[in-house]
Amino acid sequence: MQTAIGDHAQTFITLDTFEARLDALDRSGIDEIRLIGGEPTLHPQFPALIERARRRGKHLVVFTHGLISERALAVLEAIPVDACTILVNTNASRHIDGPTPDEQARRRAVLLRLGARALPGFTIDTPGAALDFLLSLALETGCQPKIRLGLAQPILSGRNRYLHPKQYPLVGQPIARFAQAAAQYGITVELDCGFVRCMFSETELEMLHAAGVETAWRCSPILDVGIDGTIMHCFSLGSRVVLRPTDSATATDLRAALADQVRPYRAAGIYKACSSCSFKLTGACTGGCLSATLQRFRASPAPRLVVPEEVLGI
Amino acid sequence: MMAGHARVTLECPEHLRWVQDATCVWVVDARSGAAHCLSGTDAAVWGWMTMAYPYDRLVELTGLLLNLPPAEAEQHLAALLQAWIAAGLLEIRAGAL
Amino acid sequence: MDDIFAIPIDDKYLLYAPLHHLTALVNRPALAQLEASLQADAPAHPALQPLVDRLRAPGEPVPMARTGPLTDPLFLGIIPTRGCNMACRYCDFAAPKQSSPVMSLDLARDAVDAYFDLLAAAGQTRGEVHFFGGEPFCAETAVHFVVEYAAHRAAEHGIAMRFEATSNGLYPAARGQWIADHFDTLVLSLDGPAEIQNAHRPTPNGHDSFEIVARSAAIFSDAPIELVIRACITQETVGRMPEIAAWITHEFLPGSVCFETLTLSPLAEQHEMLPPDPWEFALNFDRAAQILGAHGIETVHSTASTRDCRATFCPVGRDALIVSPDGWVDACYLLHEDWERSGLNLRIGRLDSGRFAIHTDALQDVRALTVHARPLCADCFCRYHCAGGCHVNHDTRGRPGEYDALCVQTRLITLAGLLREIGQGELAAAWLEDRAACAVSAGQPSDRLSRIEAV
Repeated sequence: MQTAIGDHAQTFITLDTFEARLDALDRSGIDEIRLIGGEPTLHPQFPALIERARRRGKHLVVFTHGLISERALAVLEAIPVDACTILVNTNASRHIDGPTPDEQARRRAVLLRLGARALPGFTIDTPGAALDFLLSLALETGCQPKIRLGLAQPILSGRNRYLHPKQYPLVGQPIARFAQAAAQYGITVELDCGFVRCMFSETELEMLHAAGVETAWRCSPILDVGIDGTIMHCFSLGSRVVLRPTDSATATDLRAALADQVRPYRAAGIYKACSSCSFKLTGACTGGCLSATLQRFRASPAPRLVVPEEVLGI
Repeated sequence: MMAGHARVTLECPEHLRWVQDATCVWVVDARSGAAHCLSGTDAAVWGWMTMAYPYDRLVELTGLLLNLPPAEAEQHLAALLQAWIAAGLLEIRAGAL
Repeated sequence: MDDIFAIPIDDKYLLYAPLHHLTALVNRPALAQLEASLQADAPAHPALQPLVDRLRAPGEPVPMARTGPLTDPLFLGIIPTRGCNMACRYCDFAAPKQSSPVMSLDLARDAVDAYFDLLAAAGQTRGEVHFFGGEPFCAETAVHFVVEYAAHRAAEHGIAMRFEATSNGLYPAARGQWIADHFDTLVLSLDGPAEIQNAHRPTPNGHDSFEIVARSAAIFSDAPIELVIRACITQETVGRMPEIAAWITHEFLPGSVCFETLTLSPLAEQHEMLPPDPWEFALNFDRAAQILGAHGIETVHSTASTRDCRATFCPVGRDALIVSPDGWVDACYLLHEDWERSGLNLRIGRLDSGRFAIHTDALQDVRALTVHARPLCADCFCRYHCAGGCHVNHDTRGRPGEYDALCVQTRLITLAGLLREIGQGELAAAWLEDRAACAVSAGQPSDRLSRIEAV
């Protein structure tokens, strides 16, 4: 379950609401809280949020762009290494063309300070994305020996920049090569949701497995909780697939309810061939990101068909 | 053909969503959550309907597809349309324009 | 030694053996040693021995003409009409745009039936239907029917189908969406941003075509279909190829971009449109390819693809069965008036009562149109890739090595591509900048290692 604590409109979760989210986690027996945003470290009461989560004994996962204030950095630095994971998205930027050298230098400094608390991540949004810098970043900053790779997915109700499923095979080989190179340094690559088996050749799959990459071709409800308490399937589906929580609902109940909402669309996948693919039919692959799948669906055909009444037995 | 007879208009309900896959057309009723898989002739007729072919042309294309004479092609198409109406993929609107 | 080539690149040589899949950059003494070692069947310098070993090992067979009965047609070609809804200023198609006949649905069904009967009898498991024109979607009912009917017959026979079309993209969005849903590949003619497209490819009433064609390209970009953008390059636009490439990467998601040079036609001359200088084309092709490649987009020039070795450039000679609106079965989708002007007969039969009536002699004559019958190409290192290019529009009856502009651009683009394949990108870029150096490389009359003067 992931909790949004700030958004682009600069509204922030209140401490009371945050406590209610912690209650819900307790009810579901979940000992981890994931803070997402916007940028969670921008919350004016960020130290208090961290302190309350810690008091409940929750393991903290913070999703950040890493270009954070000294105050927020100090708070994160104070968390014991084994009590948190700070996921630093290394290609977030204020600029449309990607991170500037200044931004990357600042991020590097933040990773150095966070050390083993940090886990660098990279969201691939173009076939030409260069990954090699992540290795030196991981090796030189002392962060966790892992690198999380994601595929930029379409936001269903928005117009973000994303990697089109047609382009997936183009990044299969670079990812496999990168994982192989990372493994030589004891660094493991983690694949985020939305990857599909067929974006890799059999050789590339062998390279991934040899490099210790866990391949689960998945897309399932993550349970993102908005500031207003709305429970979303995930960030990509945004407000299109939502639930209003009840006081008694557990995470398992919520996942099941969200899965029910999207079940009819799961017959298809991101490609035309997904619905007849043996890997999808046997559940080995979900057929990619549901948001990308839903983008393929179109509204009813507009044309009318005028037919003789007799045809319909009228 | 049944030209000259009274006519009705069929339309797809607004809450349908559909996608063309490799072996079928998936049609999802966003209200009920029902998913329909159209394949073979059904998928072909669905595709031609999206191209706004008039009824007589659909009969001709269906006949050619299945190698049926016009009367049998019309029967086949009629059965298909009735099944789609029953399944909620088509709705009967007011009379012909 | 027969199919080992060496082409000068500045002070070095590019050693190329297409049938051995070997490309290497060597200096002149190394080339001489290599040649001597191969000639004498003697050991070479240790540094060269791996190359010698590779070249002594058997390579892939020399691509030859097809033989035997017609059991594996390259594809079924359907020409629903020769008509077209555009009035491109360089169009070299002499068919009437508005009044060309349209293929009847009965004939279309016969063509599909005949094709599947042939595939089934030969036990084939894959089939392909390609649509050509004019503009094939000007006779869209034939296309809509053939696609569904072929899918229907394919399902009956357990045959996997592919559909491909070459199109101008000038249709309403719903039409484009149907194409995107049902086709595997679409080759879309789009010459560049608005001012280029509108200047080159207006509608018959003189209106701009850009907005509609770009909308179609966007639909195809967002769909599972493989989009190939084909841009015709003229003397005027050759310098803008990198800009066109950058624009494409920004706007669309093609799998590849095919840059072809203008073919001179009376209409093109009337509009004072000329082909580009071949060196300028090659230089800008390479620059554009780097831009497109950074986005995972392949850049193609039809005669300069080194992906495989072939005896003929196009469907001609590979048993494609291309059915015209009047039921003739041809090996080529161009107009028969054009073949005749080039002294060719590419008609191989006719659809007769739902069967292909193929004239065996005509089929054999067409199959014999391979690179081996094209004297100009005898000693060119591109012979198994370009294979002499278009049988109709490229006259290859000249003496070996008397290369024309089409040869020069093909040779330069192929050389640059081979250099880049072996990690010599910087050298490729620098060499292409040097027109004199390129002239030496492109002008070498024989590329065969055994005939290199320097050796």
